[in-house]
Amino acid sequence: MSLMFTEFLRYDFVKIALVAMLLMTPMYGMMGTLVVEKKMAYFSDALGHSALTGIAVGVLCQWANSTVSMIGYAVVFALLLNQIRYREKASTDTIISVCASVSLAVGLAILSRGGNFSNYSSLLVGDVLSMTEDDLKVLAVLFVITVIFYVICVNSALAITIHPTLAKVKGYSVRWMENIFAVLVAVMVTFSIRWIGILLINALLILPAAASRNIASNMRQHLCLAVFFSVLCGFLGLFLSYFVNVATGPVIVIFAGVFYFATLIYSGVVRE
Amino acid sequence: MKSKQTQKYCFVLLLSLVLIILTVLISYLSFQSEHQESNKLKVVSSFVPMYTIALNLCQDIPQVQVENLSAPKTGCLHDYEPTPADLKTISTSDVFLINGGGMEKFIDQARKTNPSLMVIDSSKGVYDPISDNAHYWLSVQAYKGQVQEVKNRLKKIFKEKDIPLQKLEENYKSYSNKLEGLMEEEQKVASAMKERGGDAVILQESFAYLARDLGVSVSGICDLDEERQVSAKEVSDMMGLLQEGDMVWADPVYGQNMQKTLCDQTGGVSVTIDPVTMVDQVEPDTYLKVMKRNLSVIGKAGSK
Repeated sequence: MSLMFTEFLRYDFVKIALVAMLLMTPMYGMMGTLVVEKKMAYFSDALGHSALTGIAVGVLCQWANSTVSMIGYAVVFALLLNQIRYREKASTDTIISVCASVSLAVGLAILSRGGNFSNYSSLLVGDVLSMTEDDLKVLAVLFVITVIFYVICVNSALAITIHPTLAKVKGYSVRWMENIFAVLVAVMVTFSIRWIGILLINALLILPAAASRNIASNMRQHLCLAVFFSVLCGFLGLFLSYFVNVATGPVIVIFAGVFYFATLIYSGVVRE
Repeated sequence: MKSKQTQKYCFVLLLSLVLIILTVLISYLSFQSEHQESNKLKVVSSFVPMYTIALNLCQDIPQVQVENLSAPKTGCLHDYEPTPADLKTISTSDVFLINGGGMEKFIDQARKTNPSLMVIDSSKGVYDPISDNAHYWLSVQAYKGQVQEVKNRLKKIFKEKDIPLQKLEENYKSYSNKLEGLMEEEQKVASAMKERGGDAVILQESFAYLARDLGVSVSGICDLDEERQVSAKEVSDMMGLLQEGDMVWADPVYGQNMQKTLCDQTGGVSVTIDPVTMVDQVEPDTYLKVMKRNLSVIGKAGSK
């Protein structure tokens, strides 16, 4: 048995992925709680899909680094979505769906020129093991920013979620808060898209937080359990995928799914 | 209330423990099943055509163990992402046999994973490549060049590792003879094609090599794969290029719909060619068999 663990820890790519998990999953657990509380699951999903358009913009501008164009586009897209949400009367999910599909269509149209879409298809599933040490540094910075944001802003963010008008009266600047939050989610989602993949990135954000919400009785519990679920799923997913030879992202999400349904059943049983 | 909280934490703990134990157990089982310590020279190939080269050259050499990286059926490697286990295989291998020409985009990652890895780039044995097209193996002649390049590099490595060279040379000679036989067959089909005349539209970039070797002129290329979305304009462009009796070459998976449409509309002759990348069970003779079948399919279509 110990041989198995020695082999697992022998390679650099596994060590890097482990550190990345340690930074990424708590961050996702944390922000996930806010996304779930604010009922913004669809919003973050749209941001994930906008990554493709971000790459397309990068291709059009002939930028070598697609991450920059991806993050830049996602930030603009997130702010724009927020603006439209405030102005329009239609329901939020309709607006997000409209914007996301138009944006995705533009991205796909550009990327599929000359039949080159297959060059980008690796982004759909992602690859946790393609991380480099430089990526870890950026991830660490992002982690610190997220923690600081969470510590400072969690109360106001929740107040705004529960009762925007009351929050405004209490002196919280609602618009600013929403915008900062959207930008942070956009940066987080697009930065990790190369590793987790466009199709599953949102699951990593939502599932642990949703699982924790099933059984948490207060916000603190919600946060702690979400971070716990997220970290555990990350490590288990990486470990199992290494030995059974499947992509890491999906395995992590399957674990998170198990947590979600188990807690859902548990909460149902307890209520009865 | 308090007991309810304790109960909840117990549940979470129990659930986590069960998942952890299950994960470790499953991992351990698959670890044990594939873990066999050996001090053989481990040669890993990147995909089916390279695997056939390795299988043939290293046949019956007990000191060498051959393995293929991506699961067969992956097709071309353009959009291939190595799984964790692939990287693991690479990190425990001695020699990595690649097609080259930019086909293996993950090669830098592989080198990083295993700095002592010896990479054999078989494209160095190809003397007349088509620019921006690395599907060399679909030209038997280029493939033969690849085989020779691999043999030369393996010879050096075998010398370093004190592995006898005789069997390698024998294997090379026998495979190279078989390939020459294949080339003779190719010549026959080529002369039949010359008599027949007419162009071909190919729905896979890779077929350009086969068309070149057979002297078939290609009037249009449309590279179809699993991610490709074809626009209506492209279909009509292709139709414009086709004349009655022209051939439409497609692979057995991705090009079938387009091929049917084109042939139904224009009276073209459909030819389905296997690009040797999506094989269920790879044997040493796989390349020869598949290419022979391809030639006979093209020959038959040519007689129509």
